[in-house]
Amino acid sequence: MSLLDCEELSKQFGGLAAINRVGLSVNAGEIVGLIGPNGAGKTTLFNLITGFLRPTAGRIRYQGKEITGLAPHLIGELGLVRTFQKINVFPDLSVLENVLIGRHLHLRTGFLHSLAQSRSYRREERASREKVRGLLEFVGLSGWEDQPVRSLPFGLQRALGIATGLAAEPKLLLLDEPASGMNTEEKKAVIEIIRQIYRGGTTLLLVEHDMNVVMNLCGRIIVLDAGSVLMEGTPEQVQHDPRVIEIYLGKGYTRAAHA
Amino acid sequence: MFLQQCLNGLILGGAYALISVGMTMIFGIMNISNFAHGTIYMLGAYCIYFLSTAFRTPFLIGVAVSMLVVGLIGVAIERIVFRPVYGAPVLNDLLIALGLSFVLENGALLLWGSQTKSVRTPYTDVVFHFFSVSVTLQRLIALAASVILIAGLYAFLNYTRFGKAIVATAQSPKGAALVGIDLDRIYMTTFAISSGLAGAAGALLAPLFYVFPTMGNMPLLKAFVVVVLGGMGNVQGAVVGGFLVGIAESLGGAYISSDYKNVFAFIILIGVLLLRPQGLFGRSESS
Amino acid sequence: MKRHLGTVVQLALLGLAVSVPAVVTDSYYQHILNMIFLTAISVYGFNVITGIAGQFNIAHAGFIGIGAYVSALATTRLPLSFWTAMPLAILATAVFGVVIGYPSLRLRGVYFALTTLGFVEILSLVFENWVPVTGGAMGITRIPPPSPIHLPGGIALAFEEKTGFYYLCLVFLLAAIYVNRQLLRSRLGRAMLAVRENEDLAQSVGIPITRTKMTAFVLATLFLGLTGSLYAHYFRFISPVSFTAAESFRQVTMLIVGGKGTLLGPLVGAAIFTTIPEVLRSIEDYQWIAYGIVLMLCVVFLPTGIVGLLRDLRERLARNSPSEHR
Repeated sequence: MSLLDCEELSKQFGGLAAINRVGLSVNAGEIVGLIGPNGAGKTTLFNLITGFLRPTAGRIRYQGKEITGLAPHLIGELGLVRTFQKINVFPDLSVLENVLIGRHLHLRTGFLHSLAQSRSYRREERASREKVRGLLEFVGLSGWEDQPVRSLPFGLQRALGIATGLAAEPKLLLLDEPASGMNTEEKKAVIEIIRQIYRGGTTLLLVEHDMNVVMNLCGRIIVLDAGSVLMEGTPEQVQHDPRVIEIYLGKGYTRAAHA
Repeated sequence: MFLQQCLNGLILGGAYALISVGMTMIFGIMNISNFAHGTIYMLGAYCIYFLSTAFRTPFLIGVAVSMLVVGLIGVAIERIVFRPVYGAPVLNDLLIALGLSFVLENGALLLWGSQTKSVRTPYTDVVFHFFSVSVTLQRLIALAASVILIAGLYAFLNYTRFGKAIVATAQSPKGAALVGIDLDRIYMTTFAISSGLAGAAGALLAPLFYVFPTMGNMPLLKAFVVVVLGGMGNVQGAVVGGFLVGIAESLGGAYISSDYKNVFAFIILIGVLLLRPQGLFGRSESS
Repeated sequence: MKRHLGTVVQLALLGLAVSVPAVVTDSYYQHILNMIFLTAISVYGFNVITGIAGQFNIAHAGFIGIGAYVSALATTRLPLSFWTAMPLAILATAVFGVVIGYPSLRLRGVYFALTTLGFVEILSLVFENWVPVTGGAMGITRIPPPSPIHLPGGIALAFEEKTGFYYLCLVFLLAAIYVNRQLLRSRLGRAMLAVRENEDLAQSVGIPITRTKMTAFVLATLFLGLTGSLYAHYFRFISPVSFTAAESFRQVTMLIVGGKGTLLGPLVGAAIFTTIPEVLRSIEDYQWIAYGIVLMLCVVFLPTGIVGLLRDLRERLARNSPSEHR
């Protein structure tokens, strides 16, 4: 069943078409990679899908229903959660508080309940803290609960961002360069975390520059270049496609490869 | 009456433009809203006061010197006060500028007292009459100087290498850094120009009004109105906006209500923010 | 273990607070305490919108003014008692909060702050010039104190004296602190913190930005309407000069230096800025320069203010406790 469907999606900035008639779909239970050179429009595409930008043309459907132009928080409510390439944390809060915020959609007790310190409020607080501790352990942040985010090394900050996104219990998780800026060790850890998320039943669409990460994890890869879909296929197919090689390495290499 | 008020509005508007142009540049280049800008204007006025009373400096030379002195103060402020908050959350630069304004305003109060001072020049007594308007030479000089300084700024930004570098930085700080533009020097120069122009405005207007420590408060607010009206970061917007606000205020004060004279500026401010936050010349954000 | 100690300390402080008027009989010191409590209530309101939700509401003092004028008018022009006027004042302030907040909170950062600046300037002009209603620059005089409450058993709680007002303010201050405390532990409060820290990330996990900001804004105005009403009936005289942007700036300084977003920060800030001018009259001329410097230093070096600093020191001491060195 198709979870996410983009149809003829376009985004113009002034005279420039950042995204040009892109069509893609993600099926439930898949783990899809989105690659392309710098400036291809990968983050713009994420922004369009998650409501941070309005498309100038085209439609986006999630679980069969149209979500084009919907506000970002409503898209999050539907179970479509994204992470950010740059700052993906709440800087001046503790690690625990960061992930607790991710639980927003799944907390039922409102402000009046917390004023009254009602039993349902206290029960829910306990339950969310348990859940959050579990998530922190899952991403390798056990013991860091009360630390301020600023004290976290960069790789762990990225892990925290993933935990916050997971706390929202997404059906479809969009990861924007989850491994960027990480060393080999950290990348191995993040690959494993993503694999576990996938095995847990979450559908994933991830943007990534590191080919190792992409080839290792993704069942299907979409290649974006200059705002359009160049091709899509299995990792095998993408690796050997001359057009893909060309956009990454330049025309000279293609000819050399065929010589 | 109408022409008179229009002329008054132009003179006022020229001053508003001078003050606002610097503020909009600081916002456009460093993303900082300088709440201390009004106190910088005030320092310009005190500068000419001391120059004309203690040193008997001729007025126009005094304005130039005030501009220089206040410009240097601006550089010092940039290095000491604002440098630590580049890149910090928006609230931080508002608050630090606020703290600075406390220090400068009350420092002036402490050093020079709360009594209003006046600056006398030989030009305040020379009056021209034409058509149905009358205007003192002093006010004409204020208008002329504003126009000349703004024209000078325009020439600097569009025809000199450094000026063009400033414009480039405003459009894209990352791009500017990539092509090797020294951001530090750009920031310092922007603050110098901004403060210098505000200081010039303070010096030019000093003979027309009184000089006192809190004199910068209202001009600060008006500057915000102008900057928002013109589009934050947009220099020509600040110029056009300055004259528009000046004229609106003069006409509104004369024809509608003089008690509520200041309210027109704030209505413009709120109106623009709610209806077209990017101002007259700004581009709307795409998300 | 730690939590019980906290409760014991809290009860001790409460007992202390309740017994203060018995010990402190000098009306001057009572006045200082009342001023601290009153100001603290409004700084707690500031904390909700600016400390927790991160939106700089320069119209802060203007809202206090609305509460004050409504309460004053309701008891001087109309024969309402304080106990009716106060809720009315709070309601009126909240209504203004909705009216001003709804269009303004769609704007981010400095644009929002400037909009509130515009509103407070307009409010100031109205307070000063709408003479038939507000009394203009002369303000409103002869505002009655709260009428006594008659309890069963013949006891009457009177509020004409400073002691009576002390307990009234104390009750509301404790309520203000409690609301702030529970807010920080609630889904709503965490949503506000998220909006302050990273609006985009907050939206991605389902938090509605404008609605959260509106709730924070209106909640804050409840505090401010209350403060205005209490202020009017304590001083029995109000005038426009107390409700200007300058006063907002003064109170935001208290919030930042005390510690924004912390539980005791507003109280500490209010206490410091109310007592220092009284205690150190000799530095009166320098006080604002000092405030400015302290504000700048806090912004750069102490983002969570004095309370945050003390908290960090206590944590560092706990980590370096003797049991660690053997």
